[in-house]
Parts: sequence; structure tokens; C-alpha cells
Amino acid sequence: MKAVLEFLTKDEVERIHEASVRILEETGIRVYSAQVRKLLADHGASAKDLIVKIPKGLVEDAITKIRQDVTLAAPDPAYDLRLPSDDSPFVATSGYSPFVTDYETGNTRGSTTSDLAAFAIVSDYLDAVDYFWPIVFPTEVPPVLQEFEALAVSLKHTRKHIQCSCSSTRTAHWQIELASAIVGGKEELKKRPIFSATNAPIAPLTFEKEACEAMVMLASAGIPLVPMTMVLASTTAPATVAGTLAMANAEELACLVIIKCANPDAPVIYASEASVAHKITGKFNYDSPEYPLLSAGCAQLARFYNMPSMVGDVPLEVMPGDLLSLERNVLRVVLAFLTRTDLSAFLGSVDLASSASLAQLVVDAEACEHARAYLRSFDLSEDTLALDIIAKVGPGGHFLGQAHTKNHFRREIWTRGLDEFFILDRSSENSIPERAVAKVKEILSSCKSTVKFDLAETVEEVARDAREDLWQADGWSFQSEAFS
Amino acid sequence: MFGGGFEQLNRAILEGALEETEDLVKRMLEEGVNPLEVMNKGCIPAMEKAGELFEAEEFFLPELIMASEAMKRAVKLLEPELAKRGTEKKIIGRVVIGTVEGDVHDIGKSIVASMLSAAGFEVYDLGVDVPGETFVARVKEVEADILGLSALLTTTMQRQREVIELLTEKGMRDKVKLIVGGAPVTRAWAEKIGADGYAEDAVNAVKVAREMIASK
Repeated sequence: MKAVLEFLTKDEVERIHEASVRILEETGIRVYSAQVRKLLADHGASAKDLIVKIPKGLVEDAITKIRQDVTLAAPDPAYDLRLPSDDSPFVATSGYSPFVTDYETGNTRGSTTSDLAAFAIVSDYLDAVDYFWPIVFPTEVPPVLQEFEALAVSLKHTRKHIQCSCSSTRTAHWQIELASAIVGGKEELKKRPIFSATNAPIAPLTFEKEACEAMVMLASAGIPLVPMTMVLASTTAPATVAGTLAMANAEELACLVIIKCANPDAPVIYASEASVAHKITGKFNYDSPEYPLLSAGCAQLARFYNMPSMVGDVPLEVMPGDLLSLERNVLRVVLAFLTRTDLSAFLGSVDLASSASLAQLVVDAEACEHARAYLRSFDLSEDTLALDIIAKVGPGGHFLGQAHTKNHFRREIWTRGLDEFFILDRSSENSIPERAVAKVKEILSSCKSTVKFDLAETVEEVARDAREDLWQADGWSFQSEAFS
Repeated sequence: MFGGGFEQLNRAILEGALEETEDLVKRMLEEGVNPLEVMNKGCIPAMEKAGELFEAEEFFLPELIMASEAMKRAVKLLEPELAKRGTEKKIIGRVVIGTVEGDVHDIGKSIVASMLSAAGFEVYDLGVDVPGETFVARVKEVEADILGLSALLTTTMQRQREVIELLTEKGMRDKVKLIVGGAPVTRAWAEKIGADGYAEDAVNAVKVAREMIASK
């Protein structure tokens, strides 16, 4: 027995799917890459100018190639993640902010390599973090190097699976080279992809040249792809929930088709941050009440395709000043987890994910641990139905004196109070924010690097070549075998 | 003579009724109403009212944008008539705008361009993936008062700085005011790279642009 937030009926799921197929067939997608347009045309799509119309048959063919079971391998196999997830999703940090908010002063500044390293160390320590998104960019290095460096720095400071952004072929090439060097070659990397890659189409229905070519290159190397739709109702999608779902799903199916044309075996994860544009600013509205419902709808669509999903990102972005606001955060996480997404990346972000804070990471992880506890599944058996005990107690009696009650109580009923923290110091008299800061300091001062020395050496060796090449090739597009 | 039409035109623009706006403007012009009067009494008050309603959060973004679209339709019909009479539309200022090189995000920038245009600015929208040299050349060509640089990616926002450096290199930095925007862009970033202004959203972009012109 486990709770699931379902938003669509079976018939509605099918209607959304059909609508998405029609969008791809009749409206099509705009693809800035001639290589990707050719790849799609070679598989039966019609390409005219930048617009590619994808026939229903091609979408259906891609769906038949979906892999339901995906392993996100970790540099340390003890941290491998096997999808689909079980009771609650695997959780990661939020990602790719150019700023960091100092966990002590609250001041915001450009993020650096050492900030990213600190986030990786704290994330490595926290059990609540199952995999790592490079949460901030090392912005002191040139932009052309940042996505590569994000992976390199992360590999040096966490043993967990890393989910990177990758928006150019040259970065993709070097990310693959780096990971291959660590696992022992490109064939081994296909078996043990220690990183996966997120990549977002530009809503609505647009694919930037370098980003979609990078997606093809990564797919060809067997790297799990996590293409994320970010359509927003009323700006980049219709101002209707149904229309937004159809658009989100169309973008996901378009990504699936591109990836499967490149490599039918490539693992793909259905990822969505479809939401509603803010009524005044037009920005992403994480607080919109429609957001968890759109997430639930996308999770159902992913299940319809037997595809693992990452649809329940729930940036909390609020430092709880007291238990009541911590509970609010916990319940928001519960709502997101109820979608039964397999992955969720949201810990630590602030200011609409433009920045990140270590203290926020710790309190978000705390909320996450409580939410996981609330959402565990329950057995349904002769023993748990307890008909014999019910008969024995009979009408008017009570169950307190029964061994069955005593035996099951602590196992089945959640007894831990919200103030019995998992991560924060329970014995402290300080406020929650103060305890979060103390925890960050404790982790950073006590944690030695957990990454093996030879791995760090390998990273540095590849990184030296990568830096030289990327720096020289600024603005140069890399020709991949994937297109030949 | 077309009577009581200004209120009707105000309402049509406010409601974002595109065809009705066009029909009303056309009828007014056919009936010989002075185009400058149509602009000043029929159109501008409607946009001012839309701005007030938006400020009060009684209007939301889609309603504001639709009103701007209606306004633009009206202006398109009125401009040639104004030109014929030698009275051109009053231009608040000239703005060159675009998304920086390496970034093809279009929508946010286009909304800003549309709002600026509806507010009376002459807008030169250079589109997306615009090289720094193109920005600089266009600023020079049209003698722009303001240059708006949009970037939606953390990796491309750095290009905003490069454009500013290029303007400085060409000795043009003090000739144009610079506004930067886009999802990852913050006020701190704007200050760091030496921009003159930062706008969090389209409505603020118009405010900042107006302030820049006023302070010139």
C-alpha cells in the first residue's frame, strides 16, 4: 500500500498523449541543427527550413525503445541508483546557479570552484542526497569551460552519481572522455554511466543547435539523458492545464525521438518542470498550486510510457524559522513525492534557483528525510489486516492490551516528532537557521575528502587537456561520429 | 462625425480586442478625426490605464500584453496618417534590443520589446544569437538611447559583459544607456558588469527605460 497523487484518468492520459503526437506531427519542432534535422529526416520525419514534423509512427517507434530499468552508476558503486525508485524518489541538489548565497552572512555573490566543492562535500556527507547536480557553476573560469569543470570538480568531491548540464558538443566530448577515463573506457561507461546529462529544449518546441547536438553525442555514448521540459502556462504554453500538459509531453516525446534516432539503447528519463508563469513577472512560479498537479500529470504520462521520471522538483527556497514553517516545507516535499517520480532535484536552491546556499541545502535535506518517512509503504497481509485480533477485541473493547498492537506499533506508526531532527542538532537551543549553519560548519570542518586519490589524479589529467582544448576551441563546434 | 469613440477605443485597447481596435481606428480616420487626437485621446490613456491596473495587480501579464498588442495595431494605422500631416508620433527614445550571442531564447526579450514599443519607444529588435559587433553597429546607426541585452543561460550571461566591453573599446560606452535582463541576471550582476540598469521583468524594463530617458 502506498499513496499516489494521480491527476489524470486513464482516458485523459491517452488524450494528452494523442494531443502531443498531433503537435509533433502537425506543428512540429524548430531545430537549429542541420545535423539533427537530417538525423530525424533519415528516420522518416519531414524537415523544411528549421521546422521538423515528426510522424506518429516515429514517435510510437521511439516509445517501443524506452528502457524502464535504468542504472545511474556512481563513482563508488555503493551509491549506484537503480530506477524505477522504490518508496520515495532519489533526491539531488538543485542545479547550475551562477550565484551563491553565503550561508552565514546571507550575501549573494558569483559562485566559484571552491563553492561547488563545498556543496559536493556536504552533499556527499548527507544521506538525504542520493545524487548530485553541480548546484553552482564555477563562474571564475571562462563560460566555455564551466560545464566541464562542474563535472570535474564534482567528481573530485563526491562519490555519488552526478547529473550535469551539457549545452555544447565540445563539452559533451570532454565530459565523456573524463568519465571514460575514470571507469576504464567508453564501453565500460555505457555499462556504468557515472554521470547523466540534463538538457532543456527552449519552450515552446525549439531545439538550440549545440544543445541538441550534444544530446545526440551523449546518447550515442550511452549516457542517460534527462531532457527537461520547462513550458510555462500562459507564456510558452497555452493558459490551460490540459494544453500545458500536451505541450510538455510533446517536448518530452520530441527529445525521446531525437535520442532514440541517435541510439535506440540510450536510457532516457522523462523530466519536467512544467509550471505556470507568474501572473505579474512572467517568471517561473514554483508556488503555483497547478505546479504539483502538472508534475503529477507528467509522472502519469511517464508511467504510461514505462519511462523513469524526474518531475517532482520542488524548490523550497524558504529557510524555516520555526517548526511550523519546517512542516510547511515537509508537506510541500510530500506533495511532490506523491507524484511517485523516480528522481527529484531541488535541495539547496534560493532565489528561483538563481543562487544556492549550504544552510538551505541542510534544512531542505532535513525536510526531505521527514517527507520520506511519511511516505513509506505499508504491507497488506493477513497479519496486518488483523481480523483475528479485531474479533478477539470485539465491539467496545480496545487494542492497547494486545501483543499485536505492541509488536506493530513502532514499526507501523510514525512516532517521531518534527523536532526530532534527522540532521540538525536536536539538543541545541538555537533556532533552526542557526542549527543549519552549525551543521554546515561541522560537516565542512570534519569531512576529509572521500574521493580516492587516484580518481582525483585521473580527473586532473583529463581536465588539463580539456581546458586547453575548450579554451582554444571557444565557439568551435565539435564533429561527432554520432552524425556520421 | 464619429461620436463618443474615444471611450470605446480606450475600452477596446484595454480589453485587447485587436479587430475591434482596428475597426474603430479605421472608422475614426474615415470620418476625418485628427489622427493625433485619436492617438492622444483614444490610445495613450488606454495604455496608461492598463499600466495602472497592472500596478494594482488587477491586470495580469496576459491582459497587459494583449492591451499592448492592440495599441500597436492602432499605432500602425495611425503612423502613416500622422506622417501625411507632418506630425509624427512622439518618440520617447530609441532602443536597440536583442538576445546575446550563443543564446536563442526569444520570448522574454520579445515581450520587453513589445512593451517598450507600446510605451512609445522606437524599438529595434535584433532577434536572438546577436554578436556583440552587430549590437554596437546598430546602436551607432540608429543613435540609440538605450541598449537592452537579454540572456537566459548562465553560460551566455557573460556575453553581456563582453558587449559592454566592446562598447567601451569603440568609445561608445557613454553614448548609450545599458539595460540587462534574463532569468539568471540579477541587480548585482548588472552592477558588476557595469550596466546602467537592470529590470526583473518587462514592466520594470519600461520603467527603467523611462527613467533613463528622463535623466538624460
